[in-house]
Amino acid sequence: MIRLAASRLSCFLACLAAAGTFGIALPVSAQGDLLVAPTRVILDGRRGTEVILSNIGSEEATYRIGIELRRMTSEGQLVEVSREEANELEQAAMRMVRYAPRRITLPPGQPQAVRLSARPAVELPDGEYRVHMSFRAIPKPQPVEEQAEQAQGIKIKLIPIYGVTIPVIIRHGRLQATVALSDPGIVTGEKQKWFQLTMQREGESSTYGEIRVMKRGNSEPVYMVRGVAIYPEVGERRVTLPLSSEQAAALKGPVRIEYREMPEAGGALIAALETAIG
Amino acid sequence: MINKLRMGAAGAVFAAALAGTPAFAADNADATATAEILESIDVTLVSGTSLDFGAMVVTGAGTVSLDASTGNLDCSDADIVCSGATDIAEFSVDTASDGRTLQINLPSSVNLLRAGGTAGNAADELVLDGFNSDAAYDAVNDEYTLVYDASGTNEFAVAGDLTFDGSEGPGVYNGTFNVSVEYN
Repeated sequence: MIRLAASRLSCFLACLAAAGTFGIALPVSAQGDLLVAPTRVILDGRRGTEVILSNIGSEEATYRIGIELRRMTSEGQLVEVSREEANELEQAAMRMVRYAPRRITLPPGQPQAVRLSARPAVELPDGEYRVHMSFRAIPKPQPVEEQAEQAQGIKIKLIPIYGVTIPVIIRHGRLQATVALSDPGIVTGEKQKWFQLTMQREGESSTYGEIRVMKRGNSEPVYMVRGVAIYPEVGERRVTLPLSSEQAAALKGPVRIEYREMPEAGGALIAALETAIG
Repeated sequence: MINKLRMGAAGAVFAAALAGTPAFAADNADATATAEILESIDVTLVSGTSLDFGAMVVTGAGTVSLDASTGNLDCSDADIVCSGATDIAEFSVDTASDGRTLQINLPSSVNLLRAGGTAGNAADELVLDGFNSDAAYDAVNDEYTLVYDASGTNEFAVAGDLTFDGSEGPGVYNGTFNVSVEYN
């Protein structure tokens, strides 16, 4: 039990600003550096939420917040889908997501909440809908004198626009999904080895979690990756994950592979496979 | 009344939110608090780094390539002479979750425009493509992946290729390129 006495908004933002002063040590930063939290949003349609955007750079920066579409390939890559290419499900997702503000100017160290909600239409069929929310700094116009810089030959002035994209998932109705694992193996690429695994998904919703590989009879994972999703647009995903040579050696032999929900979501087992990796 | 305490996982985000009740209404009342960890991510451009090809004198068509893994400049085409220091852009990613997989998206191609030039005029435009990174690259799927290592540096570099048709005039060519870290 604790006692809190402050208004929702003032404490929310004041605490955020205060936290920036004792946070992790960050590199000396540039215009456009940013922090986003959380990194994944699930809306069930009943109420909205907030995503925090913070300017962790050393200069004032303006950020643009947008929603975009991505489609997962059977190799697990999220590829951009234009609005013209969007299917019905994707168009419905774009229509139902509301968010504000869409452009924020923040001084260094200042966070702001972006409000986010979904308004599913009454006749919307049950299903999982998804957009990806992007946060990117808008570069400042370059000073005129730099533009007019004299050059004997050709010089290039490039400004990176960098940012973060997080999924926003809207679940409408009662949805389920099951996953089966198969065909694990190690492949050797040009520069390194890769762990591969096939995930087969059935049902209406996505699954999301961590992959843990344990030596048989041992509960400590020798290899673990977090944040592995398989979205409804794919029934089968071939997961390809980079391995160090030590990890590749440790994976060989009889193993148990588990796909579990993320610890913060309860860590329940979604699928498991006992096999041997050669 | 239920009060909710939300904490940013990387230590840089900390938020407290009170649900529902007006300000100061519960001045002397006990309340149940629940803690929710919010995973955060931050992306920074490593200070002092930029994608810089130096200076070039171009008398014919050719390509100048920067390799993000080595920082090496390939300026071997006969009609292009390169000089000056070069650099690659480096980005740092920080999140709280060890083992987190992140997709890194690079553009396929961007057009650069000469200062004072006209868009669409070939002599004023230059193509930057062949974007590459030192992050783990899956050549089969053309995908860059970063697996966050809590004990590592978690940086990735970005470079690319400049393609000249030989008609480009001298001057400063400006452009932007998008780099995004994609959660799945």
